[in-house]
Amino acid sequence: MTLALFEDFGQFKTWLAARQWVAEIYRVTGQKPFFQDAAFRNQLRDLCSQMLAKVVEGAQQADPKDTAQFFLKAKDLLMEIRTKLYSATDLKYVTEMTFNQMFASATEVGHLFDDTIQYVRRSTENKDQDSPR
Amino acid sequence: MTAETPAPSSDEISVLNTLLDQTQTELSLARQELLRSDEYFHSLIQNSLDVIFVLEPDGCVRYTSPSAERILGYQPQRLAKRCIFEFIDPYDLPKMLQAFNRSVCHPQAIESETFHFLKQDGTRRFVEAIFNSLLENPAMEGVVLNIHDITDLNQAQNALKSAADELARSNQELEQFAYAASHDLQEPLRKVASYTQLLGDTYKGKLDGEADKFIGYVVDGVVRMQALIKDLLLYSRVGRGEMTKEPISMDAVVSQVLSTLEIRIRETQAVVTKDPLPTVPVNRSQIEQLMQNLIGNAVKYHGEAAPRIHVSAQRRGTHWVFSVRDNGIGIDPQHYDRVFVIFQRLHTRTQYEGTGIGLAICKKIVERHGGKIWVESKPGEGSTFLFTVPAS
Ligand SMILES: Nc1ncnc2c1ncn2[C@@H]1O[C@H](COP(=O)(O)OP(=O)(O)O)[C@@H](O)[C@H]1O
Ligand SMILES: [Mg+2]
Repeated sequence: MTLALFEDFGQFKTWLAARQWVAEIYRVTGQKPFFQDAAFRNQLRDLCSQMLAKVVEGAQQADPKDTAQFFLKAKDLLMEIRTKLYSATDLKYVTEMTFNQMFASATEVGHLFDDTIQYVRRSTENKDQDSPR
Repeated sequence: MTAETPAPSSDEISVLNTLLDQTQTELSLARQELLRSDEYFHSLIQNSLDVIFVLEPDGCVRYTSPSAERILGYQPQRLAKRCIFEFIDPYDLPKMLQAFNRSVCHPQAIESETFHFLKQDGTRRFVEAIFNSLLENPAMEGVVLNIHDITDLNQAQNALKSAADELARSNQELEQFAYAASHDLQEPLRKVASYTQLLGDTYKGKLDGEADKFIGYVVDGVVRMQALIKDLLLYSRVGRGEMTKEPISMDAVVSQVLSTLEIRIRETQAVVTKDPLPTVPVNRSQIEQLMQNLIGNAVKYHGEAAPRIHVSAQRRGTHWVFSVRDNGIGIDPQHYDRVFVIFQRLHTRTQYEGTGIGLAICKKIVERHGGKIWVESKPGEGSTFLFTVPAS
């Protein structure tokens, strides 16, 4: 069984936000000179695919406790990527403005993860099905 | 214009004109050629069964082949500049990203992955994707993504697999049923057998002649039924449970079988010879059953002459091929397969006794050991039963 929350996973707000953010990372890392720093670029992109993998796995768990665990791991990865954006700024791969935008949207995605975790935890206590924001 | 440069003569002009004409013709031919090769590649891509994308280093779509409309339902211009990630089934996106990352890291290498592509109409197609990074190729500077729709293939494979699973399951159920039925039938049958025997012994000659005859039929039928059930039980046991294998000397197996069949061999004056046989990793009791059935048949299905039977083995690649050859009545080629089917006999009981289970058991045993069994024969001259066993 999957939680009602994930029934239309492709339209699930948290998923869409996470995917968009990842696309943004790909866009930023796809530009010169960032793109030419193969090791750094690939490290960030790899973390992104790992993060999305946790979200997807989380949505496929039968036990809401496991779902929460996976979203926690996704959040850890998100924060790790966000931290690495500081170095990207220091190296002048991204402008101050881009950094600020990306940082803010990472924080927003993080909140959506938190909401999902809380919603899932609540659903194990009582079976009310109101959706998170 | 100075006087030193003489005006071209009309001759020269006409030569120049011809030259110009020629050049123009050649040029237009070359242009046509170019157009044709352009069209050639265009229609090649247009009619391709695959969809070809060229992606930017960040995953945005730069080029989509026209076949996208036919296969995925998207008009190419609708995909331009969009991020390809949006069109991948969410559950498959992580592995698609990984393949894309790998491809970008290894220019010129081919990376492949399977995932679900979201069609325009919301349905999904299962595709095989091949990534080829040409980012370092100045003429391309992109990642070429080739999408091949394998939905139907995949569905067919799944259907095949579930049919095979279903068959295996129902086979197993049938086997369990045969085992349970034959096992449980033994006991009441034993009772019927002993009481009809008692009936026959007690009332023989005391009732009328008809009654004696009928009792005889009953005893006969019961004995036959017991034989059938015993064989059926043997048959269903072959497929059950664990099968331990150990190195077994086939020489020893044949000696054991010959001593079991001693009486019948003596009665028929059969002569059994054999070549030196190897040691193979098999299940002892099953391989004994197998040999006993084959040699037993060779002794049984003889013609006028006394049976002459020869057992030999030959190494062929990873397998040993064993053979049991006789000089008996032989088998018509049209029945080669039939004899291995359970309950199939080529003779009536009055000609040769039997239940028709022996070779079915043999087939099962050989297959459980990872081998094959078959027969070669010339009717009237004899048969050779051959089977293979993995050498290690
Ligand atoms: N060595 C043989 N030579 C000729 N026919 C044979 C031989 N072995 C088996 N057959 C034929 O194949 C049939 C099936 O054999 P089998 O399964 O052992 O059953 P059964 O011996 O109980 O009849 C036999 O009835 C017989 O007609
Ligand atoms: Mg037999």
